[in-house]
Amino acid sequence: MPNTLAEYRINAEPFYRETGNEVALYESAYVHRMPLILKGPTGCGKTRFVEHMAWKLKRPLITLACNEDMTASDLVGRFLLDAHGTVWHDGPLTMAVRNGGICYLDEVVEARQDTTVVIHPLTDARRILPLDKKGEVIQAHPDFQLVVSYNPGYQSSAKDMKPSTRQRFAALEFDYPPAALEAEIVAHETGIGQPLARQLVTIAHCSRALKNRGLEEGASTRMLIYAGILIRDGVSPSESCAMTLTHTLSDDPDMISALQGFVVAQFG
Amino acid sequence: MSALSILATGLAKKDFEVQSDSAQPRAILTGGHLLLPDAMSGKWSLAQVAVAHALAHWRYSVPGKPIRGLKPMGVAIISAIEDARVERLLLQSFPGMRSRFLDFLSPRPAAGDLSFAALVARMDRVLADPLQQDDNHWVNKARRLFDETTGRAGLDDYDAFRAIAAILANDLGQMRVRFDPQHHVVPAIYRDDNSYLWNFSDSEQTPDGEVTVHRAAGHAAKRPLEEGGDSLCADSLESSEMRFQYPEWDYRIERLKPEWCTVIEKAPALQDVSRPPNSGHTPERPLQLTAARRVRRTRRLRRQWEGDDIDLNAAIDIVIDRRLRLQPEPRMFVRRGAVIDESATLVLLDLSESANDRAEGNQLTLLDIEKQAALLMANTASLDGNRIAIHGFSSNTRAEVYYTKLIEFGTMPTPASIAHVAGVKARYSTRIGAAIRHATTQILQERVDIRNILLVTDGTPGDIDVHDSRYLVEDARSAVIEARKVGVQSFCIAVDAGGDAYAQQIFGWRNYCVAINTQTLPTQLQRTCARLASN
Repeated sequence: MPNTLAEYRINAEPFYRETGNEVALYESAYVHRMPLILKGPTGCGKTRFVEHMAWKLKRPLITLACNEDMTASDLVGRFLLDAHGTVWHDGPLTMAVRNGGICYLDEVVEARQDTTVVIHPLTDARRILPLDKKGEVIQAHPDFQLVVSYNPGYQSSAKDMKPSTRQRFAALEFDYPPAALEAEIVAHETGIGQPLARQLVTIAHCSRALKNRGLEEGASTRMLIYAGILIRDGVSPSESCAMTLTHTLSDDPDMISALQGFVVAQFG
Repeated sequence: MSALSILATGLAKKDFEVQSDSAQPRAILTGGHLLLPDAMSGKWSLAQVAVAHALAHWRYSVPGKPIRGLKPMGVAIISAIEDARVERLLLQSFPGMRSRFLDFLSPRPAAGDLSFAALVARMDRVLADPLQQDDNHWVNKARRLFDETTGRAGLDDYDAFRAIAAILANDLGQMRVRFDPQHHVVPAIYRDDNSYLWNFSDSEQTPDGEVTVHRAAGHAAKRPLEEGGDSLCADSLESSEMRFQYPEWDYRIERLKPEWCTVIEKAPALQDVSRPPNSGHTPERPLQLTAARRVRRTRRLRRQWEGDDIDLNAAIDIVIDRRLRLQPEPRMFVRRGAVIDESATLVLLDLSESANDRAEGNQLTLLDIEKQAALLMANTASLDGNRIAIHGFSSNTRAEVYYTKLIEFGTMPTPASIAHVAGVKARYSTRIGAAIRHATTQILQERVDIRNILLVTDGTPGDIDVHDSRYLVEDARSAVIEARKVGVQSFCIAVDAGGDAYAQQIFGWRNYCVAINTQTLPTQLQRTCARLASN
């Protein structure tokens, strides 16, 4: 079934600006189909990076956002009923394993630890996926690769990967790009000019300095892009920042007035 | 003030405190601190501009230049030029401040006013706003020199600007403009008094008579220890006292020394009942805690007798069982339920001598704030169903580690227990390891699923019978690891800007946070407790 995953293929190039050597590193890992952890703060470009790599390597990308209610059957598949009886329905992970896609588990630590254990046999030398309910063992397609991501900043200690899961992966660490590059990304994604993008980046840098003051995560690149999009469409800079940055980041009145102060310092 | 401190920290990208209790007419900047005049309280936009100006100095000015050999008028002009220079530099990163600075410059003096203050105010205006017109020759000369210097040397060249300030001051002398150092105040209300720029130590006279003030921001004196009535360790009224032996980890021999520490658990004395928790101190802002929002994670309860949805897996099993002619298991529904793991959090307060220190610019000691936060938290937490206890400890050698239960698990604070908390004094040292071992024993008696110990401390572990600074850190770390082995997680809030080093060593990465000042402690304490409870 060559076309099974056609809808998961990415046809247009997703914009991604490299900040380090991550593209080459990913490619080297992919040569050996090594499972990867992408970690980094929210909105810094992890998902975009995977999309970009899937496009570059011409592989279908199956993304799954993990949550606490997710069970192993949500990953591997289950029996469903139809007019003739039960039929097996592959889950997203099984689909990628059978047909050779990149399976991307976003925010993997949100899933319960016992759920993520199903990926163990896939992520070592065996590269198999046993479907115990169905009594089948799938040998992974040569193109299959598993990529997971999470944000090490805000996860609680209970939500962590088991060491046994962790040690099956290679990891790439992400962070917000350097100021000039981040401004370039914001300008490219929103169509606003570089100087305006730089001002937005400066606001983000101010907010990221507040870690010890009770703001767990500062403004992300994604938020800046939201702000930039509204500005491009004619919303005033201070209003769009209030809407996309200040009030999104915090509910604490003190923190909000301080954040709005950063906006004032840029846009008056 | 807290919002201003956050604002300043963000703009500076370093820790920066803003306080407001100065009776002086202008703000005072010292390294990392800004003291705003009382007059600014409540005026948010003015205070914001004052913070931005102070940050400009902090970023771009060289502090503490010797004042020797300078005339008071020279000092005032150099300072005014420096104000303009650093503001221009700041505007390169924060262009939005330009209009704000202009809004708060002193109003344009009357045309015929040629006093020193009026001339400086006019110079401030033309230097801040290129569109500003002025007919005074000296003011225009100032603008011309400033612009020439900016073009020639760039804004970063302090000495070049100091040279033009000398020319301008000299001109004023020639013009016989009178300068009264005693009554001179920087004209723009948002600017600081510029004492940051100068080192007055070798001069008896200050340029504007404001020198004494900038030292007022230093540490407040330690509160003298009140004699007697010490509920934690005095022996007067103690009724019950229990002794426990605990081992201590010696990293040099890599062994636990058995029965090394004696923990003495005492009930807090019933005294000071008449005294409310912080009598004698009125907090500058009453501590406020919003009710801890307990994260109630709903979970899908599977294979229920009844529910909102059919449990697909169960339904399939039923159909399969039917086909196999087996008796199906009839529980085939799924519903959302709030299965919450019961949690218990033991807040362990460090009651060592250092808790008596007053935070800078704050009326309250760390101990006061610890107590207030603990009481508020006990109130909100007990409403919330999460069991919480508040214990305290201090130590005086390994033979006497005092441990006191201020609020027990499952009890609401009563007037009596509030009085207990109020009566607690802080003294002696910090032997964290023994305290954590005892706290672990205590919390293990709670029949809950999740057990957490939250330590609030303000310094490295230390005791008078230990001279190796690493020893007690290693012991505390070992106590934390032992607790983890029996299922008790430990977490730490260090009220100490330098707390990163030892807190991380003891509690491990991510299991601690640093509260920069006491003001943020209650919020952080509450947030951490909520986080621990929801884990």
